[in-house]
Amino acid sequence: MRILFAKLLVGVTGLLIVVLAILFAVIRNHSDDAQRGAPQTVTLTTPEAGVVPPTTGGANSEAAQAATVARGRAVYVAQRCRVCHSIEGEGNTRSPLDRVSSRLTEKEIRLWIVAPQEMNPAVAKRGYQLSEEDLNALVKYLTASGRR
Amino acid sequence: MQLGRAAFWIAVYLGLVLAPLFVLLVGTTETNAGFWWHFAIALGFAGTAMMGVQFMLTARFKRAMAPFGIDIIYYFHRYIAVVALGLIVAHPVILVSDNPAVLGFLNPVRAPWQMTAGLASILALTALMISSWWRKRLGLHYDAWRRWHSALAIAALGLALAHVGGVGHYVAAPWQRALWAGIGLSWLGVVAYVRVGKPWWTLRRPYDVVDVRPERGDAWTVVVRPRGHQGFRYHPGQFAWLTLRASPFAMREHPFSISSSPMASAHLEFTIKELGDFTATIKTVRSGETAFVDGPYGAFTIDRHQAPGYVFIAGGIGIAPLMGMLRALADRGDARPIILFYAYRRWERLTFREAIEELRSQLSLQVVYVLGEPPEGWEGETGLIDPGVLSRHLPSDRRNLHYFICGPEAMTQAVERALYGLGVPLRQMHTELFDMA
Repeated sequence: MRILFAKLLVGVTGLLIVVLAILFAVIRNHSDDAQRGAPQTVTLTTPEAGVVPPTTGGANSEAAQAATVARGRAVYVAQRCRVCHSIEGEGNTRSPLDRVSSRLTEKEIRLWIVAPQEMNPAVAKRGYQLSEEDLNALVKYLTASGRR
Repeated sequence: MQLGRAAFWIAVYLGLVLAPLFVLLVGTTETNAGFWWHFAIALGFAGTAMMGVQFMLTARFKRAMAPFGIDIIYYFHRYIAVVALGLIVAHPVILVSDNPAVLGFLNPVRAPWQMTAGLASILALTALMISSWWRKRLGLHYDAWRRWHSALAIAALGLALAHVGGVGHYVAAPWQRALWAGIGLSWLGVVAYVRVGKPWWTLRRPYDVVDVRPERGDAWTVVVRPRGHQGFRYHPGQFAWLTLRASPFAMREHPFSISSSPMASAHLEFTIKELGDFTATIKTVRSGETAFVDGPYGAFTIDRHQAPGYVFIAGGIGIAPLMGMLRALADRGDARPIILFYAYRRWERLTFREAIEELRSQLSLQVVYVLGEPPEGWEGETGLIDPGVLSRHLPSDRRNLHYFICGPEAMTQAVERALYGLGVPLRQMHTELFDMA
């Protein structure tokens, strides 16, 4: 009877822990949604959909630059880079990318994204398959953040 | 056990395990990691906290355990460990299935050190579980197992904390670091209390062995007396951890029921049957040796349950705590009716046979011996304590009495079922789980 009671206590406790862990995940997920704002959601889940305006017009115009950086940020968010990296304290601050362009060349940043093992064979990071436009935008965003 | 109290302690447990995680919700930034990723992280943190709280469960905090009885706490420790291992294993499994890119972290050659620490923690925990659940089948000596258990537990928790710190989620901000450092230190504090503080306190309060008496049925009664201190107050039926021929720091203590009456003197008596490695050495213990005692523990006592009369049901050496209660009742001049059912295989091996006969003259005591192998001409009960035996001897007001059952698990369970069938409410049946290792 006491063994049964102990098992019952454990069953109830274990179940509550799982339920509360789910609650935690739901709250976190919800706050992610809230922080990135509703209109952007489509962009973030499918960055290739082209909701962020493509870089048209004068390649060097300020508006075009800003649009590229915005697209880069969208790719950065959608690819969940913040699970491991942070910029301006947002994301996982274990591996910050602030001022990354002062440490790495643009080519190196690009390699770290698409083929990290070429930069360091021992690293346990996967290479990301991105469209050329997305990759360019992401690198632009990262180097832009590097100047801040 | 009242459900209200149980609910309270479950809430305390959940608070210890999950409060840190929910506190950390404050001030977190967006990661866009998705539900499964967050869920897996929550499981990792909860599992780590559960590992830490495991140390508290077996730290023998008397006040926190009193409402349950320490046996329930130890069984909770045993079973909740399975849940914790499940959550901890689910943590990387969910992460990998959610994002196969992190699979590389499981390769110790390429993974960062903090990932290997996490993996090593899971391996230590798995070894811990296997050595605990199958200790006897693996032929592990109890003392050796305890030392390994302690070492693996500390390693598993230490590696898990290193993993948490190394990965860096929710521990980046200074206040988060402070919070986790505080939590980690409190767990280490419990370890220090159990391994250093408590043994030191026990060491300072030694006992002298004053007698080792042979009893019927390959049992010995060890009598100890506090040396230069008052000993402790206990309720009849409680038990204590006894250390003989070792330092309290050596982790060579074993739990035994106290078979003496708390009214008689400051002496403590433990009646121990020769069953395993340690109990076989009891007969070689001599008067004048030093003993260390950590107690009292347990909720198996008449003092917690007032009733118009008591029924004691013993199987074999399970008589020891019941003997303590019978002696206490006699010392108190208690006139309430008591029935003792006592099952043993053979009449000549019946532990405490003479002592029980003596108590008959001091108590309103009816004794029902149930013998497995009765001698020729035996007219009493035979076989097992079954519904037939119980119903033949229990009085008509059996629903008002409280029942204390102590013996092998199979007997205890059979008797509980039989009593339930005879209309005795569950809350009036009291047992204690003995196999705590």
